[in-house]
Amino acid sequence: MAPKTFDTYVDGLDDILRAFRNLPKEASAELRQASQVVADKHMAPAWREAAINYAGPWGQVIADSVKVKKDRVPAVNIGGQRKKFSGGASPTMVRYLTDKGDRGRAGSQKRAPEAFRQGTDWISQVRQYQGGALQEWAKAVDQIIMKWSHL
Amino acid sequence: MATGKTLTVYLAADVSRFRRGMKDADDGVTIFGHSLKNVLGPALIGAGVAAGAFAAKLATDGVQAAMVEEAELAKLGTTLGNLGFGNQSEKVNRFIDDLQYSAAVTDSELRPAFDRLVRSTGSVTEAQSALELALDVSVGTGKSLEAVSNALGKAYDGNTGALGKLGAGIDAATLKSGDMNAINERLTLTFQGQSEAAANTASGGMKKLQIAADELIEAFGTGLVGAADSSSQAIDDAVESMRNLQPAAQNVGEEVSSTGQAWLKAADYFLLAVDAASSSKWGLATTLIFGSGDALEQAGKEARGLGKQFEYVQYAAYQAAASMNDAFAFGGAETGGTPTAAYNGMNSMNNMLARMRDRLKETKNAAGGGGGGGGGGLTQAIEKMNPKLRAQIDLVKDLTSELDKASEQLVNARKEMNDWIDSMAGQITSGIDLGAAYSAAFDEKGKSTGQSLIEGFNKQIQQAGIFGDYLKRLNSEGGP
Repeated sequence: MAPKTFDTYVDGLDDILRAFRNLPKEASAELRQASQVVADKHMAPAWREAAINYAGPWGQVIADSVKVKKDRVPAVNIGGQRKKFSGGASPTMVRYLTDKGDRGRAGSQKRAPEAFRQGTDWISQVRQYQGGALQEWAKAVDQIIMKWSHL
Repeated sequence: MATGKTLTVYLAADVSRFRRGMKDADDGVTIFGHSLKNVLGPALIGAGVAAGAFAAKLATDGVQAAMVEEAELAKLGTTLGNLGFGNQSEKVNRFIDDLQYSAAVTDSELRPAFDRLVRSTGSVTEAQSALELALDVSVGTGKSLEAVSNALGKAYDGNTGALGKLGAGIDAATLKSGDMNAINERLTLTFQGQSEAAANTASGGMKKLQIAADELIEAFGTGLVGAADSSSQAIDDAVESMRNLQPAAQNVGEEVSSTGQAWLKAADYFLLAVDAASSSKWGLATTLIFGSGDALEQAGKEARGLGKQFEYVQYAAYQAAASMNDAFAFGGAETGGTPTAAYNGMNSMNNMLARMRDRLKETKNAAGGGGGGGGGGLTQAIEKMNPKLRAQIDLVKDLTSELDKASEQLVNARKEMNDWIDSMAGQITSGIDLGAAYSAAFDEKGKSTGQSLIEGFNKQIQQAGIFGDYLKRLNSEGGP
């Protein structure tokens, strides 16, 4: 399973998403669409910008790998398995190392190439979009529920 | 080198996921600990959800938090100003803001503690050190920060009794000396590092995240009302207005829901009746063609039954049309767009059904007056058919065509009704927009436009109320 990480934790969110089962399928489709719009507007640019500005020489390739995911909650995928670097590395291979370097790794994994040793902590530079994105998405959720719950 | 997999970053997840995956804590994620279950839940969704409930919940929490924060800042600012440290307010606020994250103690607890200590120490720098010491002592002794900072403050004032009662392990001689350097040295020796250790535990981590979440919510509120008006009364009014908006919006949502359901039920009923009539008419036609005297009597019964069905349908159509007429006369101006086509469709349905009922009555009478003829094959039956029976067959054919037209009109009317409900929902959700009221109060440069924020909110609430009244009246008067 692909690793997941979450920007914010909202109490009761699962209940809200579960309740969409009581609405017509179109409501869930609209939710996915609205979530894509929010992710496209807030999340993807923020992650691309952080990668370019803070992830060192690998930043542009990582930024190019940021894709909006089609889901009920706004989400982006970062990384990819295709070889993008001259040495044969993929964006996924360098994503973690550019951020953390060899910190928190043990044994043979600790022997990261010299260029990655310190890490750049670029992932921690991204979260500024949370407030606006969450507010906009919450409004979209309201509108969709309002539209479909009375039919 | 591990190849790994593509990382997926989600904007939000349920709090339960956080409890399952504490490892995310180091990436600056935030928790909205305020439960939304009471605001949005499956039951409420079934009944028609409050417009703006999810978004407004964040906004109202934020406004409340911003209001509290402003009061606390004002209090501390006044103390600093009175003590001659007004120019250090910003530095103190930054110190407290940083400390709340490193010590996992909210700024709401830190500000009063600092306020107390700066009053007694008479020095911002010493108050900062004393506050850090108070945090260590608080964690070490299990006493509240308020109690410890009060005791420390009293000690600086010369009364060390409260400090002795904290159980901090300071000997009586040191306490009696009132030497704050010696007392602080002893306290530091005993409790140094307690606060930091506590902040670095899992529980401390959770607390830090909660603080970050609260600060984020607070930021929403600050953005919403911060520049609007600095008076606390105005903020109180804004909070009150937004709180009023939620039930008003919910009321409108529920009324839209029940109105739409009632009207659509009426439309469904029409279509069912038309279907029933459609199947009955073929029975009637068959009976007329192959009919004997008994069969014709049966046909008469069927026709009477059909007539009754149409009478009932016609009555329902009349009621729906009349209530729509009244409702539009009452609330047309506020609704913006009215479902004229739906109204016209139902009205013409009504007229058409009346005509059909009259013709069916004629049919019934004619069938009852005809008759004769025994059984036999199709040819014989047709030969026996008198001109009156042929006329009945022609009439049934006409009725078929009329019913088809009626069905078509009803389908159009139903579509119009759905469109209207959609537009109503759209108007309500776009009409109730706190952000719009906020934006209208300021121009692009952030200067006041002269339009009151509170008035903007209240106007939206009033409009929501008019919608609610209008729809309530529709419900009480219309529908089958």
